Amino acid sequence: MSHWTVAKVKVKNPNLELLRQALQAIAQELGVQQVVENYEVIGWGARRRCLYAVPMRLPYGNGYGVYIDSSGEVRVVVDDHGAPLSANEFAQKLTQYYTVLAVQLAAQQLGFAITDARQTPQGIVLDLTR
Amino acid sequence: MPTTRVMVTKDGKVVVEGIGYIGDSCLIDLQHLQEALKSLGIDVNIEMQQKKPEAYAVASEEVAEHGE
Repeated sequence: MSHWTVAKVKVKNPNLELLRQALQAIAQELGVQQVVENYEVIGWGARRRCLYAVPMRLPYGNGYGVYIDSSGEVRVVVDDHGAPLSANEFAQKLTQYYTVLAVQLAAQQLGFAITDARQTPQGIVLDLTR
Repeated sequence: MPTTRVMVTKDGKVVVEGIGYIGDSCLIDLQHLQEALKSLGIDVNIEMQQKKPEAYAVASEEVAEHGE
């Protein structure tokens, strides 16, 4: 049997190493060398200490921060006025990259071989083969 | 060779396509993948699932073979 499945994903209580790796990939795209930990993200009249951050000079802030709230959900904080990615775009990218890393790890755990991985206009495609 | 093709879209969706599977094994693989992702903090909420046309073709062939 062959099938199509479409599912919405939500990240909660993430694997911290995968989360850091996903952030590292975004950091590289933004031209930032290193993800930092325990960083205070500052914006217009607000600040928040974050588990991880992509530090960079923004018109009204000092980078993108990520923390996990009391319910285990991943939150992004940034003063995104004039920033290369809005908070929403950053959060969507983080979810996408985290999910790709999680699929790769899950596939290995389940004994799949990852025979192809490619970027398409619609998204990132992984072929998992038995 | 059975392949599970996973596309992770920019808007936080996962599209999974089973290719070359026989029987229900594609759905079993999907379930295992779903469980493994849950252990990594990803809740997968299935919005739509459908058999591809070739799934019915394979099923018809199996019926024909068994019927002969």
